[in-house]
Amino acid sequence: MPANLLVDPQDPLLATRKRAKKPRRKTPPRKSTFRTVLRRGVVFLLLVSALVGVIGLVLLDTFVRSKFEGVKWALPAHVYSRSLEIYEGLPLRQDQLRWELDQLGYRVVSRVTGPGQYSVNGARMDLYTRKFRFMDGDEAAQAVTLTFSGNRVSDIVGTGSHGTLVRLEPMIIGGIYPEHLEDRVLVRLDEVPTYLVQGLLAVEDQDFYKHLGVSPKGILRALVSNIRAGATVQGGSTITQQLVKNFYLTHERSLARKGMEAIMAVLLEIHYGKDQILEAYLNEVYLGQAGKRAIHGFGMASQHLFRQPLRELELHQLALMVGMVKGASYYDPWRNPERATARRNLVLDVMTDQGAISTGVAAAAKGRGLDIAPQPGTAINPYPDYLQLVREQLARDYRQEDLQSAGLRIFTHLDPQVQRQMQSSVASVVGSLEKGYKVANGQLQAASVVVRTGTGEVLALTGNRRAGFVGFNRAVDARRQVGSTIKPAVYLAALNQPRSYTLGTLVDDAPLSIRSGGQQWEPRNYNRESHGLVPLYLALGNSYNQATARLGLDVGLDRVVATIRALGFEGPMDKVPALLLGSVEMSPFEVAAMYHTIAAEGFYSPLRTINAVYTAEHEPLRRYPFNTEQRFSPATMHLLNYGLQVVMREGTGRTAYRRLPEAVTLAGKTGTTNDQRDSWFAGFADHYVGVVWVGRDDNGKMPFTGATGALQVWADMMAGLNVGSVPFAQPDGVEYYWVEPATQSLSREGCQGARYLPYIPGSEPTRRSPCFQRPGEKVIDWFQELFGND
Amino acid sequence: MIRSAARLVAIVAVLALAGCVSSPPVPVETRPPVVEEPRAEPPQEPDRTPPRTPGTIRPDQQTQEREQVPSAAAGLIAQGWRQHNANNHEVALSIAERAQRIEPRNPEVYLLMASAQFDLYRLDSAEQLARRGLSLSRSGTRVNGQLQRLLKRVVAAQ
Repeated sequence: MPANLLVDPQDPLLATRKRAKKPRRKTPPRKSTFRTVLRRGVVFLLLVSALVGVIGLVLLDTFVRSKFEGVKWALPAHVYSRSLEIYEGLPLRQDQLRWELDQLGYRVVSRVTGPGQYSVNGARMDLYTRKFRFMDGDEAAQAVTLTFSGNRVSDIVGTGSHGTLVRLEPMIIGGIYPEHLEDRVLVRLDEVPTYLVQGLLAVEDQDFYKHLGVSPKGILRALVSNIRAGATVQGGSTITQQLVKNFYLTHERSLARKGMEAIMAVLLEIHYGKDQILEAYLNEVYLGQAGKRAIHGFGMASQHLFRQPLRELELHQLALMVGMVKGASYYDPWRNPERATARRNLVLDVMTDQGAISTGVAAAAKGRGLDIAPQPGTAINPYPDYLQLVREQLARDYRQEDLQSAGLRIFTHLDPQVQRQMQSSVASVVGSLEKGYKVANGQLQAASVVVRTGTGEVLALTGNRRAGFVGFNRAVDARRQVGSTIKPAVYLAALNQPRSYTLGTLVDDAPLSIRSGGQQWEPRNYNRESHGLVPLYLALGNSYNQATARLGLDVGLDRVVATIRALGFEGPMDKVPALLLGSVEMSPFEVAAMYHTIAAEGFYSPLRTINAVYTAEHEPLRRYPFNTEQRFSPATMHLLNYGLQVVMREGTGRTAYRRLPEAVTLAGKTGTTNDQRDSWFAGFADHYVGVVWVGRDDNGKMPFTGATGALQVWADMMAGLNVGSVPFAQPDGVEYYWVEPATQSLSREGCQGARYLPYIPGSEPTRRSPCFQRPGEKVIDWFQELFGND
Repeated sequence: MIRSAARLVAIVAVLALAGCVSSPPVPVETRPPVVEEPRAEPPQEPDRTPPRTPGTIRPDQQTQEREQVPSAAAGLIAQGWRQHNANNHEVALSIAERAQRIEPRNPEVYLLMASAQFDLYRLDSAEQLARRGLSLSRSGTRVNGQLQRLLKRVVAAQ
């Protein structure tokens, strides 16, 4: 140990050090060390805590700011109906308009003073429309007086610039919601009625514009108010704290969360202005439940409770909503009207105490009823089948997450009036069929589609006999054999060759038997009778299977298939003889597409559900314009439409006139499949193409045909829609002749067997019937013979 | 010679009888009259004609004789043309579709649509819309002529 050797044990310094060291090793020095360590530890811990706190605070601050400055909410896409355009001559009954106005939340008043109101005096209606931003410009609110005559709007007198044309805002018919199913319509603070803000601040946070997020004074005041009122009328949390709780935190009740809430409230106040915080609160607050859909914010609550925009609400309505902030379910005005009224009145009292309103105004507001709209259904979307189609079309152009969060506004062609009539007709007539034919209750199902003629706009659609039922959409997804509904395509393929076929051409309706796919195909008429030689128009009108099969085979399956394709059917199709009698499977939607081409005189247009898409900021994003393509000549289509009118006047569709006036010209075709498993009708009147299918989900037999089943639903629907006659103008390239189909000769009006038929010029008969000769023509013939041509 | 005499006698006889014999009514085929310029007219009451009996389905008489334009549709079409002339073609199309819903058989609607699509260089659409307009207009009318001319321009541009 050389080092030890260097140390002199007698060294005084060493002795001092030893002395000095000794006491430290005794008890008191030990205590001192512990304290030091403890002190250091505490300091260290404090430092670490402070550091963690600072880091935490920074992170919290970042979190608070990023969420508040970013996209605050996932906004659902809202889907709208068409907007009703009212003009002189519009077929619309007063009760139909009143229904639509009620759906839009218009108020019936004795004297109209502002937007969203109407009054009725006999056939006269005073209406004050609301402003709305459309694709082609802003529609200002305007006051108009409408007069109804019969089933039409006969006169419009307006104060606006348009005068003769009034456009209502569209109805919200559903939405595409985020997964948490929160529904909200954002409002800006400057759009919010003053009473709402005053009421909210009076009840929830009187010092909102003074405190820094947390208000001890407010807590004390709330305590005093609550003791005085004998109930909880004020909360201790500031509006900022409530916003933090709802917007950032969970609803857990703990001291830690309360502390966090206070810190975050202060952070929020440091970074943002009071108005920004208040606006966020107005849009965040939970105000009720519509089925699975959660109602958030006063903009949506206004629609939910009153079907009115926020700006139209009166004091008593605004006070109700303010009261509901405390407990939307507890004060639900539909379930607990007395409780909701008491709460509303308390809000009015607090507002009076705060000087926001006078005692008189409060008393007047207290005297009002709750004025809430009828309770909305619990369904997320009232027209689920139509919405499904909208979603499918949207899915081609938009990502699902954008649809669920970007707040898109989707304007569709759904016509609530037509949809309502469709649902009513389907439900009532299918019910009557079950009763009348003694079919087990609930065994029958139905689907229907209505399209606006010429535009291809799908106005209404249902895939179930029960309105609003969410399930299998038979209108789009159920593909069933169409039976005789296909026959117009067979006749069109024939008439497209005017040199070979005309409406007067005779077709043999005798039984036939051919080999097809290794089997014998022997179609028979529905009544098992044969009718000999029949003219084309009659074979179609009476839906003769044997004549149609023979005609189709003569024309050629290739041509028939090409015609079906040209009419707009894109699905699978077997090129077999049975196709001629409707073995092909189609959905009602696909049948509607084909019949729309027929009703539009040979112009195919893709069927459309969406009109336009706007951003959440009301800016136009995309339009889905009308498109068309000529597939057949108007002259040929005129001939086919003649045949389809024969169906309705003289053939299988004639029972439609039990429900519709004789003066109305209709066109259409019935369809029944083997063993009466499917009952179809497709047809059109002036503005509507409609298709109805009735059948059983188990594909079982039914005791009725297309004529006695689906046609009855169709006719009831068209009668309810107050339809007019099919336009049937004679196009260029068509001439009418009196003919005798039996003898294939020209005839005259009044002659036996004479029929007035349209022909493509050059295809009419050349032979003249004996009756064709006019009085004196024999003499003229004699003269011609006498004089010759010289 | 005999034939010539017979001719003479026959002519004299016919001339003599012509003044005292009135011919019975004969069926006359309806020919559509020439269509006048479309005019805004008040809407018509719904057709209250007696029911047509089977076998006498006839083409419409009214629509052949004039191209009715309810004033609401006429106003929209005028508005659409103003937008079109201001090069706001999408807005013009949107307005034309409103007019189409009110008056789907008005050829002027399709003239406006086809013109807007043509200016947007959507030639296929413009052609088909012009054809639709032509199918709804009668030869000899102003709008028919305009559609014919537009169609020629569209086809030439393709």
